[in-house]
Amino acid sequence: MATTMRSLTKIITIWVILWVALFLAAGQIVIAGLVSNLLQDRFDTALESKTRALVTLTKFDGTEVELDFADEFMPEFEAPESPEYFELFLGDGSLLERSHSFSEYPASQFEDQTDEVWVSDLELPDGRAGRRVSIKFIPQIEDKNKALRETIAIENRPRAILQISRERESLDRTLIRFHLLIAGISILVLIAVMLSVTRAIKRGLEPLIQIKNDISQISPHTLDRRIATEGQPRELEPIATQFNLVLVEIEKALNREREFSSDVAHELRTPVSEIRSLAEVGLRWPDEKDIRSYFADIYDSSRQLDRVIENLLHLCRSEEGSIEVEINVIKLDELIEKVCQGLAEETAERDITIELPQTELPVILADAQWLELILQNLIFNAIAYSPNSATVTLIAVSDSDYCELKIENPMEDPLSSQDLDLIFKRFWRKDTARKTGRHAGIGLSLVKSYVKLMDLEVRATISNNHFCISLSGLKIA
Amino acid sequence: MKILVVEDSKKLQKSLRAGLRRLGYAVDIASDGEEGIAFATTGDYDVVVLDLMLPKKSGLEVLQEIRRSKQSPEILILSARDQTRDRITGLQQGADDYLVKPFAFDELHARIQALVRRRFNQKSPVISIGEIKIDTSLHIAYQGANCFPLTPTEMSILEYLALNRGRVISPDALLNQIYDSNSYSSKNAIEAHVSSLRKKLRLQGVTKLIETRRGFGYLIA
Repeated sequence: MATTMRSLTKIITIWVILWVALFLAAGQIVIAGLVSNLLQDRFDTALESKTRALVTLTKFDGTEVELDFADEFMPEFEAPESPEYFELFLGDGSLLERSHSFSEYPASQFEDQTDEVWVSDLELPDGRAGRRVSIKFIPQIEDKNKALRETIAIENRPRAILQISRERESLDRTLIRFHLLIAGISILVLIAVMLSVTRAIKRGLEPLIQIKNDISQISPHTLDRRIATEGQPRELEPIATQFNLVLVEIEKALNREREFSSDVAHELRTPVSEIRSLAEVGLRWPDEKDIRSYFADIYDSSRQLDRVIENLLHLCRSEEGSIEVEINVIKLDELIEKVCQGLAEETAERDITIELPQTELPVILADAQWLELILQNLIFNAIAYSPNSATVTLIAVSDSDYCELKIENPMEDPLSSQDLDLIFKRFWRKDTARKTGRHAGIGLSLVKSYVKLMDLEVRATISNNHFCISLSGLKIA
Repeated sequence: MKILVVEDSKKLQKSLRAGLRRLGYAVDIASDGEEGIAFATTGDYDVVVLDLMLPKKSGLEVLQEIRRSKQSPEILILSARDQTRDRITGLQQGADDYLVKPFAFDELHARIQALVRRRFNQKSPVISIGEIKIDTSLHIAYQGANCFPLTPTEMSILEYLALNRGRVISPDALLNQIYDSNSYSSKNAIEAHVSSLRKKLRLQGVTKLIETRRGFGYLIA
């Protein structure tokens, strides 16, 4: 099942927008609440002030309570449009006076509370939503009736309740406008945040996108490309550097694979090409003057091919463990002598001297067949890669349990220390042209493989233009 | 036609030299990259058959040097390297063809012929000059049902003049094209071959095919 690819830009943008939206919404709620309360308080305070003004106009003359109210001073109580309302009740609930604006409507339901002042919402007689302030008070006795004021105790004076109502729709409209304004600002802020966040992320991710583009340009055919490390942000520089290091290793490995494949192709195809080409030309023109040499060449190439195939098969069998190891008692000096005799032709051809170990060689425990093949390969290589008339030296170092055999030769074509890591690889040859001959680059691979079979160790070193290969772990009998 | 074979295998050198000479080509051999560069950048070769894994200089280096020089032979890479990447690299660096070892000798010959045709802007292997047909693929010349009994050298001269139709070819140029570089043949040999060629053509009723421009050379108009 295909999975949807996640986009970093998308994820970061969504999360930032969500959090900003959340903060803005919370801020909007808090501000709206505070502002609503403030405006409502102001509205109620103004209404209460007006009520208290009317309260001061309410007097008690000893017998009855009177409201000394004149419409011309407060025209809002008789305005034809959006009038305000007041009603004055006595403590027993009887209506004493009401504003002209109430004249067409029945009296309000009398409401008494224990508080001195209370505020409530209501529906005005004309149907609008309104706000009412009620004040419970004891009407004052006029200053000129000082005697009366002294005569009638406060507790014996009548109680009165004055209620003033006015519409609250203008307040509600103001609040709605305010809420809309806050919401609009929040949306604008959100859009601005979204744009700036997207831009900031894009800018911030630019180096990452550049790395992505660089990587997308890299294919198995363009492994020599690298990601730019200069100018990278601190967080990405180590990633780019590490990636480049990995690329170097991949490139090396791939090149080794390619070289290996080319080398195999060369070692196998060249003798086949020689055989085929000689045979085709010989068959087509049998009267060719040196036709007999064609047979010799074909024979030589087929032997070369045979050697490569035989060595490859040995290597495969050895690596898959199908070769048996039979440990025998071996006289090392006799074995070395046998191997050297077998290579007498090569030694004479290059005028090479083989200097045998000066010390007495021990009797060891090993598989005679495989040890002979190992020594054959090592000594043959020492002869082949020495300059003409050179000396190949064999040195043996023994302790009570083990013997180490070293084969040393001067190098005609010097190897580098990097080459030492490669010499045991299959088909590796210093000569990249792979001149035809007895070498196919498998000998040391075979040695390594046989050495492993017999629990021995083989190691190569270079010193003063001399190549030395040592075979250690030979168990003394 | 003159071919340079740059190959380090002595056995392949031997078979290619013998086979290609038998087919009427002049063949020079170079055994390593440096020798290949020296031959190819100084000699006038029609085709260079180039191995890639060579001593001293690699085949690709030889290829680059040839392409940098004033010589412009057709180059056929003949290599054991069979990977697509190797072929692409070889062709992109200026080779005209790529053949993987082991190869069929006939296929190599056919590819060399194709490269020669390309070199002379010749689409068909058969060159027609009036009633006369010269088949560069089968190396025969004929008129109607009459096949001219020409020797390989005479056939090579006729082919080369036909491929360069309208151009005067000097005896030196013919000498260079017909014989290997280490051959001891002289201009007199060329004159003798041209004379013999004319005689054989005359016997078949073909006259005035090859013109002589005194002091300059030969021409098929």
